Amino acid sequence: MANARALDKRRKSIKNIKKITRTMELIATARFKKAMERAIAATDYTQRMGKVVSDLTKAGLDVSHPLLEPRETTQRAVMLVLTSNRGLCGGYNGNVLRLATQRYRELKQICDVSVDAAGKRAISGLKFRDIAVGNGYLHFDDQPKFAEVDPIAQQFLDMYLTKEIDRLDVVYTRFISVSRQEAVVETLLPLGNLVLPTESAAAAATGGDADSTQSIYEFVPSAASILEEVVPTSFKVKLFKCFLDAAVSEQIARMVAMKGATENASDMIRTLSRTYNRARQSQITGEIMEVIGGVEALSS
Amino acid sequence: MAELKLLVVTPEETLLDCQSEAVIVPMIDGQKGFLPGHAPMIGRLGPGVMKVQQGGGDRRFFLEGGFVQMDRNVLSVLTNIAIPIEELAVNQLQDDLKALDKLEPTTASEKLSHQRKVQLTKAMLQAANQTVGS
Repeated sequence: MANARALDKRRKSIKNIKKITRTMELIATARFKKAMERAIAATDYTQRMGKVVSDLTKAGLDVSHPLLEPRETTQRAVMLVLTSNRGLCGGYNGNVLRLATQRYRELKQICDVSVDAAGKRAISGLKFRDIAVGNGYLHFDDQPKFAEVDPIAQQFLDMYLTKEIDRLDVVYTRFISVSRQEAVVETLLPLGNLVLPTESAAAAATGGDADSTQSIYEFVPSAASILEEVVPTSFKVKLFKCFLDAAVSEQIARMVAMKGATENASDMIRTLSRTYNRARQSQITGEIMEVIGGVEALSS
Repeated sequence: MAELKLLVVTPEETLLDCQSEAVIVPMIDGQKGFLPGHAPMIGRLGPGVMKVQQGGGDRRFFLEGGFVQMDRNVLSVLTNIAIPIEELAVNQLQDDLKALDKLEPTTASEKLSHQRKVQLTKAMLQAANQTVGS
């Protein structure tokens, strides 16, 4: 029979762990709400960008830009992996890293690949998988700022325009809904199309009712000059959105993981309490039997 | 007095959503003023100072560039960076510029980004100095 005191000690330590996981769950919930607010605030910009792009295309402008066209041969590619700095968030980092490793092997067969990583988990995880990490970014927390993402985006743009790289893939966790996030690989350079699918749908929705009173725009200095600015900006915004999505998804993953941990701790406490009570009862029964045994031995 | 609706949007948030009597924005090739009822247009912004007139006084912001769209009396300014002029520190910017001068970029992409940083810092410095002077 298990020692009652040892059981009690274990139960106490699990109670402490439960308190910790419960607190972490609450913190993650609060952070998730903040991150979510930021992500929603950011959609305003992308929607307006989408409007400008759709107005540009409606004006009959031929949309062409070096960033939009795929290169004939891809010689050097960069893969950017977005993970969290901290663990205890379930399969969040694992899923991204698994996908990143897979894509790394695919790219390796066609060209030179260098890997950049944001988040401690990506840096250590890739090192473990024997993938050399070029630039590592550790300063991103649950609220990535555009001013922080901008230099990185600009660096990739410059490298692409000077033909130091021919392709940029980003591996991150896309936020679909509160109950669904998935790890995805997205090719951001060459840009392909200008507008994200969700934005084009939103632009169509807002543009649909406005079509009857379609404004005829004047472009200053010229539509081509505006396009020159639109394309790099939309790349930056796309990259920023990846960071925002990753941050929101991380908090959700941690929330879910910690909720699970708290529930498991509760279950464990319940079974341990039961075993403890049984052990205690059997100890008492044993002691009573001894006393009765002693009394009977004396009386006979 | 007639007013137009002004929206200043950065990738992070909607910084300003207000009514204004007149707005002057820095374009890539000069400045442009908007009064209520301006014809629809889309323009490319350059780095510089945006002036927003409101009830007699005016507010100034430094914009890094971006776009401006005027449509149905709504002026949307899309920019990467918008900083109220009061928050620009001249000393800090001068130090930044000195530090940038010392750097010697080697690769083509580094040269591009260095050039851009110098331009941006110079533009900010100019904007900050203007306010001190006026």
